[in-house]
Amino acid sequence: MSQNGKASMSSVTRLSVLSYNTLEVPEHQRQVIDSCTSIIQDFRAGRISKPKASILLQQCIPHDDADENFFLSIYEPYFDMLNNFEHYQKGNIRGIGEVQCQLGESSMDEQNVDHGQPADEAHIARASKRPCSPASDDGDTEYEKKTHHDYGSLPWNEPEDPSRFALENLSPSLQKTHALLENFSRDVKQVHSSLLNCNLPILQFLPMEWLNLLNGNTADLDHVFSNIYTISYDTRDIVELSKDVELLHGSSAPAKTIKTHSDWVITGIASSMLCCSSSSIENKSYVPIANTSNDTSHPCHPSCIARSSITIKLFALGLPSNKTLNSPILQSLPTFRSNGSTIWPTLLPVSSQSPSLNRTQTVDEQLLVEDGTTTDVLIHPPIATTYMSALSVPIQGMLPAAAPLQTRNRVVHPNMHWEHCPGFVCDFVWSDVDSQDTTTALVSELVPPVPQSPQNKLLNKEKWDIIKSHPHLFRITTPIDVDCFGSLLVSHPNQALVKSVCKGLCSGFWPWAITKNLDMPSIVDNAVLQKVKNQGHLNFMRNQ
Amino acid sequence: MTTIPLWVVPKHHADKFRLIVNHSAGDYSPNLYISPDDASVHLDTLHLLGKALTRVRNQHGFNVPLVLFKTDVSQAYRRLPMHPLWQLHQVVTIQGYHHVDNNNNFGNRRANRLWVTFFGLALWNTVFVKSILDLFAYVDDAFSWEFAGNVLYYLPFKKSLPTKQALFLALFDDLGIPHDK
Repeated sequence: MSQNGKASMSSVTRLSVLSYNTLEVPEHQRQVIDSCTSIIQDFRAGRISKPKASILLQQCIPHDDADENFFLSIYEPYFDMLNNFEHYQKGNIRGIGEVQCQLGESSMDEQNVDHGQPADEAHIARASKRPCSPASDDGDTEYEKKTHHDYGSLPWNEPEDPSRFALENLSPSLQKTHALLENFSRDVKQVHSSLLNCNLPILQFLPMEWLNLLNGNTADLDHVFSNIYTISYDTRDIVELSKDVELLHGSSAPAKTIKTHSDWVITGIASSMLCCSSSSIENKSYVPIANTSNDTSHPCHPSCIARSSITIKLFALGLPSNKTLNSPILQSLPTFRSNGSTIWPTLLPVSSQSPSLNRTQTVDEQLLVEDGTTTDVLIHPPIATTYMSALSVPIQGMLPAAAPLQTRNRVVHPNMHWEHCPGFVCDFVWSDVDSQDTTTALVSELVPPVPQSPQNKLLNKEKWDIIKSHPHLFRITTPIDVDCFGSLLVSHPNQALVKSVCKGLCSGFWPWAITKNLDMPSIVDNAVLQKVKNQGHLNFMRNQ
Repeated sequence: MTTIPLWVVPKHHADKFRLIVNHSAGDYSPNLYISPDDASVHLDTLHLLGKALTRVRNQHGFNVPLVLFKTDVSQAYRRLPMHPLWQLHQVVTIQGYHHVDNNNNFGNRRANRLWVTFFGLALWNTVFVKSILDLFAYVDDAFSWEFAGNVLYYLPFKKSLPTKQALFLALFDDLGIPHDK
C-alpha cells in the first residue's frame, strides 16, 4: 500500500516556510524570519502593541543605512501584516462601539427624562466613550440609496419621545400588569412560593417557568408540552359511590399528543404564521391576559408576548383564563395543523368565542393548502381528536403567509426566498439568520475521546504472537509529529480527547470495533471476492 | 487475519483510477464488528462560510475585495496509523501477495470519524491558538477567506498565498501533515 511520501520533510524546510523570494535560506536569515513571525504572532495574540511590534521588527531585521531598500523590502510585508490585523480588529471594535454608542444615547435620554439630569452632564458622561465614526455609515448610505428605503421613518430609528414611556400613557391593562410585575419584583421567590401553594387552579407549568413569568420573562412552552413535562391523568383515582358502584376518574391515554420537539415546532410555526396573518391579534390578546391575571396568576409582560409567537397564539385564541389546561372543557380547544390552519370543534359555536377567535376563523377560511400533512397537532396532550388530513381542506390556492416556505422536508427562513432557488444552489444562498454556529474546531471540545485498543493481551495471545513475530509487517507509520501536535494542544479544554488521539498516533487507532467474545475464524479470506482482471487495473493496484 | 477484496474504478473527469477497499464485503468483514450507530461527524458547510462572509461584509463594507482559499490534505485518512491488532483485519491481496495495510482506510466504517476528530484538533489549534479565524473544514478540505491584498510568500510552493492560508500551511508543515498544492 502507498505510504507517506512526504513524511520525511526536513526540519529546515518546515522552518523556512515564510520567506521572501529566496530559494535557499541561510541560517541567519532563517532566524530573522522566525523572529519576525513570532513577533507577528505576539501582536495577533495581543501580547504586544503595534508600536512595540514595529520596533521589535526593526531591531530584528539586520540593516545598514546603505541598503535601505533591502531593509524595506523585508520590513514592509511584516508591517502590512500588522496593519491588516489592526484593521480587522478595528472593524470588530467599531461594530461594538456603534452599538454601545446607540445604547448610551438611549439610556442617557431615559436618565434625563426620569431624573432630570442636565444635558451637559450627560454629554460629559458620554465623552469618554468612543464616538461613532461618520465614515462607518458610508455603506449604509449607499445601500439606502440603492434600495430607496426611508430608514429614518422606521419606528426604531425615529427620535425617541420621552412621553411614550410615561406610565399614564399606557393602556389600563398595561398599567395593571406593570403594577403587578413591580409588586412581584419586590420578592419574587416569596411570590413564587405563594403562587404554587395557592388553592386556585393555575396552569400546570413547571415551577421554573412560573418563575420566568413572575420575572417578566417568557415561559418556554416547548418545555411544557414536550416530554420534559407531561400532563397525564391519574387513572388510579377511584371513587366508591356505593357498595357496587365505583367511579373511575380519569381517561384513557390520548391518541395524539405533542411528544417531541418537532411536533411542537410544527405547532409553533403554524401559530406564528397565523399571528402574522392577523395583525390585530397581538393587541387584542394582551387584554384578557392582563385583566385576568389576578384570577389565574399568570401575568405576562407585553414583551413576553411580543417575543413569543407561541404565547401570542395561546392567548390570542381566547383561552378561558379561569380554567386549567387539564380541565375537560378544553376538549373544545382548536386543533392546529402544520399548514397554519385551525380546526375548531363544533361543540362550541364560533360566536361564543372572543373577537380574536372570529378573526382566526376568518383566516382559516382563507387558508389555502397545496400539499397534504401527516400530523395533526393538538395544543394539549390529553385531548384526543380525529386524525384529519389537510387534503380535506378546500383547495383554493396558497396564500404567501399561510404556510412556512419549504424545500422538500426542510423549513427555511421566510426572508431567504428559497422558493425561487432551485435545489442545486441552496448551499449558496446565505442568510444572516443562519443558525449553524458550530464548527469542526469547536466540536473538538465536546466529543468523547477515541477508543483504545483491547487491553487484555491474553485474549489475543495468538494475534499478538503473529504481530511480534512479524514486526516489519505491522508498523505504526504516520508523518505527523506527535510531540509537536501534543504541545500545541496543551491549552485544549478537552484533554482526554487530545491524549487519546496522541496515543492513537503513537500506537495506532482502534475504530470503535468490538471483537471480544466473537467466534471468528483465525483466517478469513474475503479476497476471493476480488475479480480484477484488467491488466491496467492490476498494474495500478500493484503500484499503490 | 482477514483479507479485504479490492476493486479499481476509473475517476470521473480524469484519466486515473481509484482503488476501492471494501471492508464490508464477505463473511466476518471488519465493518461487521463496528456499530453503524453514532458514526456521523460534524462537517462545516458553505453556510458557515457564508455567515462569516456576511459578517465581514457588514463590518468592512461591500467594496473590500476578498479571496477564498481551500487547502486539501494529501491522502488524509491514510495519515492515521491503525493499531496492529486491527491491521490484522485489513490485509489486502494483490496478485497473490498479501500486504498488511498499516493505515486508516476509507472503507472502514469509522475512518471518517477518526480523521475528523484528529483534524478538528488541528483546526482548534489554528483557530484558537494561532488566531487564524473563520477557518472551516469539510473532511480533508480546509477553507476560509482573506483580504485580497493580504498575502505571504510560501516557500515550498514558491508563490504568494493568502496570509491565513500560508500560516495554516506552515502549521501543517510543523505538524507534518502533507498537503496538496
